[in-house]
Amino acid sequence: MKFFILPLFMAFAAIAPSGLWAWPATILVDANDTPIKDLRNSTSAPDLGYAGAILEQSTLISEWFYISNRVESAKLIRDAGAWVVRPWSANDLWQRGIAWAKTKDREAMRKVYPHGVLIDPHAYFSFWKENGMKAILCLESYGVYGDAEKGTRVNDIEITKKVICDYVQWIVDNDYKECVAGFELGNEPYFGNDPELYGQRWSAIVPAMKRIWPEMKIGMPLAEYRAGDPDIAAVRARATGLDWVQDSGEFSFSKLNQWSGRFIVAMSNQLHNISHVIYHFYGADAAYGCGPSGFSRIKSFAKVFPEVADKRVWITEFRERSDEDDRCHQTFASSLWKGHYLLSCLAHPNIDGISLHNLGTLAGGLAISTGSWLVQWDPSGRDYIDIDYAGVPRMEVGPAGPVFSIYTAALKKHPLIINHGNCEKQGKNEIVWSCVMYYGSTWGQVSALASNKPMPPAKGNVEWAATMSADKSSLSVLMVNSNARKIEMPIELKGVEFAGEGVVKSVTITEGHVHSHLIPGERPLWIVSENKLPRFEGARGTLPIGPNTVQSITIPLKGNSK
Amino acid sequence: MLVLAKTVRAAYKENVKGTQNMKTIKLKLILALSSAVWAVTVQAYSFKVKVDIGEVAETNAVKMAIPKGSEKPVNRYFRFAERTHPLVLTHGFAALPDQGGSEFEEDPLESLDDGTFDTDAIQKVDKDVEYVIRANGSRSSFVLMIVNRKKENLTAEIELKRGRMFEPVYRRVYSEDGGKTWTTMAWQPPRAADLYPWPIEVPANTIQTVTIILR
Repeated sequence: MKFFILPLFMAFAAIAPSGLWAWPATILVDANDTPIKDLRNSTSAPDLGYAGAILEQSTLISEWFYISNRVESAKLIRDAGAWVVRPWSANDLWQRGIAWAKTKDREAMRKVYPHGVLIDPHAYFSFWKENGMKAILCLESYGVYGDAEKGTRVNDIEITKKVICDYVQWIVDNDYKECVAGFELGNEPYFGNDPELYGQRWSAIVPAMKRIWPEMKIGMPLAEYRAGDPDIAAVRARATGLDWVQDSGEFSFSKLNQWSGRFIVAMSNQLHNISHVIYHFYGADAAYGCGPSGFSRIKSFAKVFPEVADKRVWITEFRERSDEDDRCHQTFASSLWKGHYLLSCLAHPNIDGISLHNLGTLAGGLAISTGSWLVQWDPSGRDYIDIDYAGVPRMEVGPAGPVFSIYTAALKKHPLIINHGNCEKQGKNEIVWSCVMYYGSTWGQVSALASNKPMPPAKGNVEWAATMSADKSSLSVLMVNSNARKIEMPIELKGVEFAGEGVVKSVTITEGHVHSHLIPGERPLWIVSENKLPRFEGARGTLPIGPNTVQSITIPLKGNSK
Repeated sequence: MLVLAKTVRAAYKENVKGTQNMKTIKLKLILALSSAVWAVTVQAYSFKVKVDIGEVAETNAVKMAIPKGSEKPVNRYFRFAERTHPLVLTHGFAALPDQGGSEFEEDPLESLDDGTFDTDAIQKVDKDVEYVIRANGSRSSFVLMIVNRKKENLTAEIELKRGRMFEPVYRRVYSEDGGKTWTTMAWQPPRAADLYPWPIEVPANTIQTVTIILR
């Protein structure tokens, strides 16, 4: 036995101090290492944001938000971390808004647009500018208003080009460039039938846009779907006459996925004007888009179409479920999942803005009431009536808001993404599966809850991203712990030392409610707090994180001369 | 305990009258004490709440007794429940274990108005657990308004005469300091229970509404 025990002991003694067997792994932060990315290079920084811009629901809500309650709205933006927004059909919205601002007969125009939002574009552009927000403007080229006051439509390409260019010119002339992260060439056009025509129209428009604003960022939407993607079923449910939906109702994925390649070919003479490719990812199970599989699809597509390999990426819509579960965001488990997924996106060097679908429904960004709290749609009519509604719109932050608020507050001051990992691994080339592992395990937990059985443990992890201020005088570690127990993460610095107290900003959930749908208008069951940690000294320390928690820990640094 | 007190009093009277011998009196006392012990030990129980969404009650004006100090948050929830679900289906108390259904099945609403209960009724229901079920105008949803004044957590088992339930929405008022301050919390489970009858939590010293949409 001695022959075995002694070598084993010696091997353990040799390895243990090196940390190879230690769990959790030590967070390594090398101030001299090249950052994964520098958010100062992104026009959509702090990059984590929302699809939608409170310009979708109704004129009443938009006016409440952008005109009559701007101070309150600014606080909501801060508390929901909604620094990046993305209005759909931005050129239509702008055309209607300009006409609305000029018309002498608003009542008549209201009748023309009973459901279309009518708001002077200066109202929202000035709000974005005042609050340091960024918008990814989603344009549509299928057609424009011939006469926006009367609601007539035309699809002539020259008129369409002129309207879109007028819009760009209006942004430039009114000095709103700083709040435009970029332009998106249409919302999910790949569900349509004719990529060649689609590319032909944008090829005519894009160079004219660039002549007005040469530095503008432009993204072209691409799609890579797999069978079973929840978004496919959702789109099919509301689509008719699409090539990729066969007569029998089955899908032709080859046709759907061919769309992107054909669009690229159709745009081949304009790719030099394209800065970004755009993806929408729905579905958080391992095979679907929100996770490493989605990142893999981006890479695979770039291999097949090297024309776009150098483009940066916007994910302008994402959600763990599609329309079949519009209310999935109401749970704090969803917030924890987002805590993971957002860090994974941050750790991808070529991904810039990512936008949660969406800001203005029970997506967890802002809950909005005009008598009942808006769900995107729910065929079962499970809207929540607003108990305290008094005849004017009400808005409040939803359960994802604190996650975005905590992360973006840190990123605004710490734009250098230095390292990323979880309890087991870290580094620029590591694929971290924590988000899908956690998400997958929540199904079993929900089933146990429904059958009144003991809940199996979640396959949680502590995922983190170490960020630094531009001058490397401050460290902020963004963290999520989806375990049901507190974990202490060791941290080691290189090239810098700690120089003061840590400040923890965190959000967690009332015990027993990680899977509960949280009801808007009621006392939030999530708990936001800010605390100080004892002074950190030297190059080593420990970062604690409580159960079911998303947090940032910010610590001053010293000693870096670079 | 009432039963025990009545038995002791009856036994005392019988003893004074000399109509029963001491052996019988002792036996009655032992039985009564056993019942009291059973009542104390089996306080945390589940009770059935049968819901017939098509039911028609005699009145929609029902007032429930709520703990002093809880009026403001409770009224917020109760007024909301009454506004959205104006039709009273049933009003009753939790049926104690082994007693069968709840009192309302035999005598809905009547015995609540005068506040008097005969011994049989006291044996059947738990006056500390009172509930009302209301339906909305289209009878596509109902709300269970329930007050648990006991110190024990209970479970209401919802039995639907027709339809199935979506996830219930709980709106709860509770106190953590013996009734000095009252707090609210509201949530909805992520999925309707797989179990039938559907269990609804009724924790100690709480007032709550549980809103359920039918499918």
